[in-house]
Amino acid sequence: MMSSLKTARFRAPLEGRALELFEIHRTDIYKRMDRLFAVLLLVQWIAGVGVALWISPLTWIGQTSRIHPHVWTAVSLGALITFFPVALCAAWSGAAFTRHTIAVAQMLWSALLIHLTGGRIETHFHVFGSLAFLAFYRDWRVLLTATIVVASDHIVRGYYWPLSVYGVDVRSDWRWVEHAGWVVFEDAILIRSCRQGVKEMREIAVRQAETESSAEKKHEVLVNSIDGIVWEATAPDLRYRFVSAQAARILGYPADRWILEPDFWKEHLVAEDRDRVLRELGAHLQRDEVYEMEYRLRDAQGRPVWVRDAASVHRTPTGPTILRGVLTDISERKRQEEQSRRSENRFRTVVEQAADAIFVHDLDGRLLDANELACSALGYTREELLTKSLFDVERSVPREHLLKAWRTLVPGKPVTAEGNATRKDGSTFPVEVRVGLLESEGDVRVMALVRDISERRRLDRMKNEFISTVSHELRTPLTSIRGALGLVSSGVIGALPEKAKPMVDIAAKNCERLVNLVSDILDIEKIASGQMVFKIRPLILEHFLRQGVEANRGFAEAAGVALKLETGDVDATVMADGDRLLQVLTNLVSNACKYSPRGETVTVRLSRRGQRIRVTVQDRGPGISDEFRSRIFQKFAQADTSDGSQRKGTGLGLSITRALIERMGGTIDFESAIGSGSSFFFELPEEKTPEPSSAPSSRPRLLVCEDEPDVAEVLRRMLDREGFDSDLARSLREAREYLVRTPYAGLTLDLALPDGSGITLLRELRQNPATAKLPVIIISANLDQNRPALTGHAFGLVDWLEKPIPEDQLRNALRRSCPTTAGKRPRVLQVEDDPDICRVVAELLYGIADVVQADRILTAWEKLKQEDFDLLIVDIGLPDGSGLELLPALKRSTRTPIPALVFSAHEISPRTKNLVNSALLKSKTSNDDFVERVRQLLGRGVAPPAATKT
Amino acid sequence: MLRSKIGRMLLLGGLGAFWLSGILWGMREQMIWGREAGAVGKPARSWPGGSLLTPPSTAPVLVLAAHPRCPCTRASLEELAMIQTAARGRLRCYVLFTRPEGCSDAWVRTSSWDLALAVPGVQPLIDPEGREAQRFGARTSGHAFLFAPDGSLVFSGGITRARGETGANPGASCIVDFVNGKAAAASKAAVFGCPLFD
Repeated sequence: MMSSLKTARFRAPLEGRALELFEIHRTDIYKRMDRLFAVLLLVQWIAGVGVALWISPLTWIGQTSRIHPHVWTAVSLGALITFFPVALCAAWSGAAFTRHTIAVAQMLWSALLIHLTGGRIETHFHVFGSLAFLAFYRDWRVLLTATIVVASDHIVRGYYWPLSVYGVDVRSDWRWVEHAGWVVFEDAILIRSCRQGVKEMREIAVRQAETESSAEKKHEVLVNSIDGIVWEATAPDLRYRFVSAQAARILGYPADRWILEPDFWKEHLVAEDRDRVLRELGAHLQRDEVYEMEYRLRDAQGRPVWVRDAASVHRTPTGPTILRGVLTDISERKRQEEQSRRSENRFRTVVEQAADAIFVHDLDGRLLDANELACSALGYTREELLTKSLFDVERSVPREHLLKAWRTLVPGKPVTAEGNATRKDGSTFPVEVRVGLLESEGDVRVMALVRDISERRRLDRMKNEFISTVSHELRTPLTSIRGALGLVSSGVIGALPEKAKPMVDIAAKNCERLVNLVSDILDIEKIASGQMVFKIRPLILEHFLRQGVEANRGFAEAAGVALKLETGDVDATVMADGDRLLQVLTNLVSNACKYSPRGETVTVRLSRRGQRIRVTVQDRGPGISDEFRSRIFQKFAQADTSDGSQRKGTGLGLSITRALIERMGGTIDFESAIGSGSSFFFELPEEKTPEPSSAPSSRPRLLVCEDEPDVAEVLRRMLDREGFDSDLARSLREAREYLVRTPYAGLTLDLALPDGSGITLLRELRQNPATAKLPVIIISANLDQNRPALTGHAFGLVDWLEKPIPEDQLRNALRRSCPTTAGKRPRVLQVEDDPDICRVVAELLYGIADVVQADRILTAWEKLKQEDFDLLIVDIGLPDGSGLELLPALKRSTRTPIPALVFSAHEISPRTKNLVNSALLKSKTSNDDFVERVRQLLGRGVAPPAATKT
Repeated sequence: MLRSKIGRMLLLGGLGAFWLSGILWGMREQMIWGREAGAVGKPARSWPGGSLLTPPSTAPVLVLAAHPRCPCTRASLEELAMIQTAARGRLRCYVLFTRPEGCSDAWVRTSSWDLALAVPGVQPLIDPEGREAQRFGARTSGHAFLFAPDGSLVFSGGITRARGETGANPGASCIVDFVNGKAAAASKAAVFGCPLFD
């Protein structure tokens, strides 16, 4: 079944490509066999002549001989038999007539050869061999023709000359059949073989056609899957031989037109491109194997389509030059290029017409581009400017700073700063620079927009001067007016007429308003210009709010509103300017009171919101209308009352309030409902109490109680120089927390702390047995004011110091109060003959050790015997020898080994360094290094130098 | 196009016919030439008295005249070999190789001589100037004479069927039949070969 199914398609009539392939194959066989037989016939002719010459070269009559007729027969008859079919092979190879003629000739050659060989039985095999050879034609008809020739020969000769065929002179009508029968027998086999061969050829043709079809389909799919027109053409005539189907999609023309119309491609070139393209093509054909061109072709709608033509040239020795390539639609790319070009032009125009100077440089500051304004502003030509770096323009900022700043830029986040630009002539002018990062195709560039702010600075100066002048010129008379009106209104200078008093009151109130307005305007201006100074310090909000509420209680009472404070359990500290924060609170409370009906309550509430502290001022007023909500923080914005009138105020309060809160790092907002009142609240980040340092240290630790950061910083540095570690408490509360956690060697105490007086803490310390003896140094801004509170009490103070802190007094106080070791200051023996060095060392070590000096080895030796020292500082060059001579005696002369430090003016050898704990060269050692080294040797308790070991 | 195809076919057909005709004519001429028998003399009815050969006594004797260089002689000798095979030793043969006047024995001792020498029961002899052959009446190479034991001539003629062609032939059949005691179909046959004498 399978075999029959498999072969069924081979039995079906061939058609299409299979038939074509079969015919080609068959014709090829015919032609090949024709050529073979042509050669064979020639060979046979030569062989026939040879056979005749060999077997019967001469014929004799007696002793006379001549050429045997067989020779002539072989030559002439053989030629006749041979040359006609050979001529047919040359002229008409593969034709049926040719092969049939060949068959006839071949069988005639059999007869001739048999004749020439005298009928030898062996020669008869030529017949059978020829038939077999003819079977290679795979055309059974050829065999038939050959058989007919053989049979005819037997029939004719059997009839006319039976003796030559049968050996008897008797004719036989059918005896030829016996002879021909063997030929027919062979024919049967050969014909079957021919048919089998043809069948196989059919099968091969079918399979090949199927393979071709499959390959063609794949090829077609592949070619059509390419996003472009695949083409093949001859050159230089540019006749297209193949164009893929994509032609229809890309240009709207079927592929056939390219092939059928000779100049299709040329005619569809856009006119402007034609000459160039043809010229370029000609050049490519001359020299190139592979080339690319870009040009436009018109599509079916007449629109130009940009294409990229990538092709290769194939030159053949004999045939035409072949071009093969792919046309790709690049319209989109061209469009984008055009857009990019236009964008670039627009950008260029914008850059050149910009009101600011624009520089583009790399991250190393090398200038890459600048607009015209940049050049003219600096006095360079463009060519000159592009040879410079930005450091030639901006010389006021250190190079390293700029390099670092550029490298920290983030794309999309420009940075603005001010600086100075330097002109070519060396003059400078102030600039505001806005710097941003440009990333393009992997390159990182910096774009700087530079604006000359000379005028702005001048205007700022003018404005500040104006403000200062206005401030003074307005406030001064206003103050006078207010003061005068106050005196008049109060009746100090005499009673006013009844009718005049209201007028004076009106004048006083409005004067007050003017004063407030001027103050507010100046405040706004100061804040906006950054001139307002904020003294940021820790602020305990509960304490602050209590004070603030009390400060505003009078205003509330005057408005007929109760003022209530709710702090909850919130114990929080924020970093803020107390005065400004009070201004904020006052504004909010005053607004709340202004807009609250009489008898209502305004509540000030303290609450915590995560890491932020919120202060809310809530009223029970009419609420804020929707149309006013968006303007509420704007300048001169005031909400209308229910009767349409405006409340008192300048309209700047909330604007100032918001600016103040934001400068202190906070936020402000409100919630309101018509008829239910409003809640204004601000939030500030909570300031956490820092943990005391847990780093182990051998130095004594003091607690600094100081709320002013600058003072605290200075004080802590002083303490550090004197050999103390310190913690900072910015309030009484923090101080109490520290004191609970950490045992301190002493305390510096500012009397004016945010949450109370330092005296309170002092009392607490003295009442606590653990801290009753704790040394305390009072540091106060106003000692005289606080002195009465301190005297008369057994506070056990070490000292009272007034700010600014005198360092030497502090040092002395520390020395008295806080020894650096447990009950004992280190003692250092300095063996030095130079008195100046001695004085310097004594001064340097004053804060950390007691220094005993000896100028001779012997003196030092005696002191070592009699006293205890913690450290030996020794010079090598002494009048009575080398200070190193003391080293072996350190062990014997002291009960405990002490470290040794060589402090010499001479170069210290490695051997010497090995003998001591440390060695310093006088000329190369700074004071700080010396003190630090001494501190280390005193603090580590290091083993004595090797020389003292036993 | 069709016209040219028909014209071409006619041309080729004519050429083919012409070609075939020439071949057939040539082959016919060859056939005629091949069938052309050689001259025969007057054969003796009985063993010639003047022959130098030993006359038959108890077995038949075959005498074959041969031109030593005639190509057809070879066919006759091959047929003689077949005859001797069929005669199974009951036939004594003499092959008289004519030596023309002025030629040496070497002229006679050709491959035909060697072939005759190789056939069992055959004695090749050099026949100076063909005198012996003439006694028997031979004039053409390949003429065979069969004598009965009593000396009577049984067969005279050729033992090939055409010039230089081996294969079944009446002469050979006659000789074989006689030697084997069968009735001979013919007493003479055409002789195909080269003339022995100028």
